[in-house]
Amino acid sequence: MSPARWSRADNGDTLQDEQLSRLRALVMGPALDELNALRNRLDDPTVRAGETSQVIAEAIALRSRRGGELRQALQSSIEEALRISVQRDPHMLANLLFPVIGPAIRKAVASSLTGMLDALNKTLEQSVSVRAVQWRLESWRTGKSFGEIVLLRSLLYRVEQVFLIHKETGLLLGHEVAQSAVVRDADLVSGMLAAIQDFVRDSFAPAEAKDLESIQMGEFQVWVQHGPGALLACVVRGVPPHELGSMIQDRLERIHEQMGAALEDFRGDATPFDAARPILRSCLTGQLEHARRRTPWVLSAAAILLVLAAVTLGYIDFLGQRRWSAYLERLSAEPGIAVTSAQCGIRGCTITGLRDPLAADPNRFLEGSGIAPEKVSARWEPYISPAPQFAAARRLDAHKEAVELQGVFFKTASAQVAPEALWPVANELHLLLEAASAAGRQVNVELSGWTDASGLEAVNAKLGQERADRVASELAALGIPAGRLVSRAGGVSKSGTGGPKDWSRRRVTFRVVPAP
Amino acid sequence: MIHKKICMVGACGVGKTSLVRRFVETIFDSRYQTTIGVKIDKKSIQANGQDVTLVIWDLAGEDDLAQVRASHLRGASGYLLVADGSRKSTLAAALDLERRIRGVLGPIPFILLVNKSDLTDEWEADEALAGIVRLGWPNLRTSAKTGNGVEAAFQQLACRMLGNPGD
Repeated sequence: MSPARWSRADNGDTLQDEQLSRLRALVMGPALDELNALRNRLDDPTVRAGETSQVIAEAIALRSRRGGELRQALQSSIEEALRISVQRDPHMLANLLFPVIGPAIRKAVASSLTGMLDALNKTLEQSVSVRAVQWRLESWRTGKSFGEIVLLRSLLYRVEQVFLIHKETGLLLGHEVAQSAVVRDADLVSGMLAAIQDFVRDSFAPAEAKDLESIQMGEFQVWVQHGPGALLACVVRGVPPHELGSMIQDRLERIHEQMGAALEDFRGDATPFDAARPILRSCLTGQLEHARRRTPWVLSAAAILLVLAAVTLGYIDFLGQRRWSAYLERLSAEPGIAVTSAQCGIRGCTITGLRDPLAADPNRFLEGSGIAPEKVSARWEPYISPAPQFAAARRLDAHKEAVELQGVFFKTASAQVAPEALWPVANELHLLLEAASAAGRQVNVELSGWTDASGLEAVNAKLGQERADRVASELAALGIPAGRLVSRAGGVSKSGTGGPKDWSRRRVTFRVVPAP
Repeated sequence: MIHKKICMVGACGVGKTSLVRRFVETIFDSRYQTTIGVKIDKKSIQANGQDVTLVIWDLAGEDDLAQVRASHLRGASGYLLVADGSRKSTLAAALDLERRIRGVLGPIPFILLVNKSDLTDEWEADEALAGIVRLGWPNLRTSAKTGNGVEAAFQQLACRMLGNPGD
């Protein structure tokens, strides 16, 4: 193909284009203008941006509903944007985070503190001292953990004053004072606190711009918490617990939350901050002194009671032992009683020994001794005491027995008795009276006159009396003192095995009785 | 009650503290100034028909101007710029101070006090003062010794801070 032919052909194309354009205009008419307008909208970025801005919020919402791809796509851009923002002005983000970051940190710190408390518990469990014992008792009594008690008892403080200070100017926004606290001019103190903050920041930490958080002097401490618009300074006497810092921080956050706008617009008029007074007042807390003293008081009262109880018990025991010894002494002094072992404790007393049946009853000595008889268990083995009084008594018993075996017999209906028939009786009576006198006792002898079953009853009664009288008078004649003899009618005797006229029923019997 | 923070600034030995002592009763010892660089006092006055408490930060005067702490100036609503009428150099220092403070706080109300007006024999400030007056600075002659002009200085500053410079 030659160049001339190309050129001709080009000219032909141009002509053809123009014709086509005209043709298009004729055929499409107004639709062509619309097409051009559409092309413009798509090509012009400004127009497109304007249009996109109208739907972008809805589009994002729709896309988000369909899945997480949008979030993933945006993540890196947003992170980068945040990074740049923080680089430019870290304060903006810090101020934004201020109300939320405190609670989050406190939560984390609280959980780590709980762990620390457990560790403290374990360490303290091994420590022994008087205080530790007291705390352990209290822990046992109150059901709190030992570590908690140690912390509680070691801390004693009072928030005496609280200052709310405008950060920018150092001017006082609010001031509350606990009763009886010493107050200098609050405006000046607040200014000076702000100045000291500046001083410390400028002098020691210009690079990091750290805030001063506490000032300590003697028993006073000033705890300061910083917010973006204000600081809260608490003047504390004593040793406050760590939680006080969180409490102050919390109050400051609430003040910022409620009066953020007022803090920004502050031009020297503190009146709007009267609304923060309840919050400030709530900072005036403390671990009161009397709360701490209550426990030692209870403890000492308990100790005094214990000592009193011990002394009382000791005294009671001492009295008991003294009574017991007196009782044993009396028993030992008693003839016919030999104590071999004795002991007395709280549970009761036991005593073992030997006792002559003739000796006095040991229980008799318990009466009036102050010892309850039921508390004493005694075991007495019988024995024959060689004591003279018991030998005599035993002889007297023997003679008494001998006398009572004696009998004087009669013929039917007769009261006659031969004097010689009474000699053995008289002899026995002599010996009896001798033995009685040796034993230091007075005895009488009762003579009973008996009849057999024959004869009239009235006669028999008289006969019995006559027989007794007769024997008595005969014995008196034989030298037995009449005063010792008592005669009586015995009636019809029931002894003997024979019939009504049994001889053995007609008799006089003897019984030895103590003299009245 | 409105509270306003004001500062006393000026070169060393121009009599800032003496002026303040003329004006207020204080609870702080002057040792504060040498330790932390500032002493704070206050005075309640009436200005423009309202009660206002001036919390006065008396900054330690230092010969090296760079030593004046910007942090102490922060939040001030106005200041008294003090010079010594018997020492020309202190007026030059005042000029420099004003420039520095304007840099930190922006244009806030202030009054130039030319102090020691009782020392008429040694007075050497008139010429320098004339130049300063041309700058339009409000100024007063004061004497901490006689008390002359002291009340008026604080009063005028308070009025300027409350937005009535004409008083």
